[in-house]
Amino acid sequence: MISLKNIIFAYGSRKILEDVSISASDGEFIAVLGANGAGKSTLLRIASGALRAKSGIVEINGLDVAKTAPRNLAKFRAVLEQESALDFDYTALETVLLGRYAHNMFPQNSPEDISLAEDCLKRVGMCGAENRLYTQLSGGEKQRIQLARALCQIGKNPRGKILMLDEPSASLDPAHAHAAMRAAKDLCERGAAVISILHDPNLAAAYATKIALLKDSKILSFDTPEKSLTETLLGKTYNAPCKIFDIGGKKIIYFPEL
Amino acid sequence: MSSGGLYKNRKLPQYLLAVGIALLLILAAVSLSLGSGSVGFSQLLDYILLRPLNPTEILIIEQLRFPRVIMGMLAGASLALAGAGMQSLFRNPLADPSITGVSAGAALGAVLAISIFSMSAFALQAGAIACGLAAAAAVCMLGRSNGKMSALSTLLAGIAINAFCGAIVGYCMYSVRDAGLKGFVFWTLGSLDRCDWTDVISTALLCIPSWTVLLACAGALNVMLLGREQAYHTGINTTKIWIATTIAASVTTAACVAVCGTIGFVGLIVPHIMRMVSTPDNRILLPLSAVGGAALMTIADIATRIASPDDPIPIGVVTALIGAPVFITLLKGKRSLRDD
Repeated sequence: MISLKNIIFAYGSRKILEDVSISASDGEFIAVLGANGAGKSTLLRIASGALRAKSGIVEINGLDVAKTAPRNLAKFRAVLEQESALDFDYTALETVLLGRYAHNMFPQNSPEDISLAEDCLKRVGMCGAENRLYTQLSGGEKQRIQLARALCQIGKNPRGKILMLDEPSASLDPAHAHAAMRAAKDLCERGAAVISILHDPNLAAAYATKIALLKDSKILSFDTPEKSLTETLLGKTYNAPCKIFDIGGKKIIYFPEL
Repeated sequence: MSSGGLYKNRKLPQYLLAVGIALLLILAAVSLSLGSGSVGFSQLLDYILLRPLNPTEILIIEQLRFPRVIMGMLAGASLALAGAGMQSLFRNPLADPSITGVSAGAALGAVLAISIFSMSAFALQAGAIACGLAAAAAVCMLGRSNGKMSALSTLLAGIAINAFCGAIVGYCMYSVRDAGLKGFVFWTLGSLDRCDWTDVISTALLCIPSWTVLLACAGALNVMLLGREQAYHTGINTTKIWIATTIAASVTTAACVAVCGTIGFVGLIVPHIMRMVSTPDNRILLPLSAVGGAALMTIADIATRIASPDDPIPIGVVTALIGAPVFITLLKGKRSLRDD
């Protein structure tokens, strides 16, 4: 369970977030949509605790994020950032195992940790890549390893935990994008809350239980996909005319050229 | 750069550590039996086996050879540990105490301490630590752009600090002229010629707590390689790790620089070689680097005394002759110095 209440944030006089409130209960999948520069990543960084809001409060499972030690927070909140630069020759498995730090600080990673890490690699479709060097992987493969690391941090029992994703599908092909979303959705179904920034509204429509639309630093809509994903609201969100087609009961969101 | 991360052979690093320690002991024995005077390997063996020796031989072994060899090992282990820690912290395989300017800052502190105060070991080390920490703080501040450490800015800041400290040390050397000249030259080149037991003990007292801090940070430094924000998300108090690692690396470097001067490149190449033969995992890399650094310094010290037994060349000359080509190779091999 995570809640952000009345978040205000600015860089100098430039307002980034104005009175933003969203929340995610256990089992919910929140997708955050918005145009470039709408404040999505800032919102996620404030939610994770990496950035402090000017005012407003972020609570994870009843704990004030600003007052909780990083290690305690990391035991039930994992984050996949947009970019993770790792220039040293860790293997894929060693990279995934870094996610266990908060749970198991200094000793050699236990057999349970290693089997969990291998399972996480399987879930992102990187089975068999355990001993490949991270620095030699492609951009998409790196992204999937980082997702596996976040899943590994969440651990075996996702109930009551929170996964935050910043454009997890950005460098993935369509099949792997679905696999990544599926892995996150699977955590939701087992009791975790997921907040994910997405740039493809179709992925949001397929996986999210609630959609937050960010427009000009404010929440335009925070509601179910049926209510948030309309031609009018999406058109406003992206400043571009939007068409929604219904094909066999599935919504296809399309932005025709101007 | 492709043999790292031997996950399948997790036991290998432990064997490496055992082999390294054994090698270090052999090197120490060789080093103890080299030098001016009549003490060779057989006298050393007699000493170890508690057989009778004449007082001069005992004096040479106890007061000249042992402090020199132990100081070399302390300095090598310190520089390599500090280098390994800094490389992980800055996420930059080119960082080390001499390149980031910490060694130069410490040398300046030591020279100022001699010029202004006295020659006591305590004043030297206190001055070296103060200026070494100031240099580290300056690099940390200058190396940041947009709130993130940049590899390129860090190296450039290091160059600037090296030049600044070098200029002042150079001026001190110039203004003292002949009398104390050799004393100052020794700081800029690095040498083990002047250390005694007082130096060894005061250095050990400063180094061992710093090493403990660095080793305790090893697990966190692994995660720091992901970047500061991601490390926070994974459960690291990043500010605490930054401060602890920087202070520990600077103190251990400065304590050694105060006694044996600036010895370049050990902190750069040892962690790099260890990373290639084992893993970037700091829990293994840090102890391996300490042993490797001690071994490299002992080898370099042996080389200085074989090359010129009666008036050994400064050890920093040897490490720089080995280190500079390795550094250039690393620089060429690194894909790009991008700002991240």
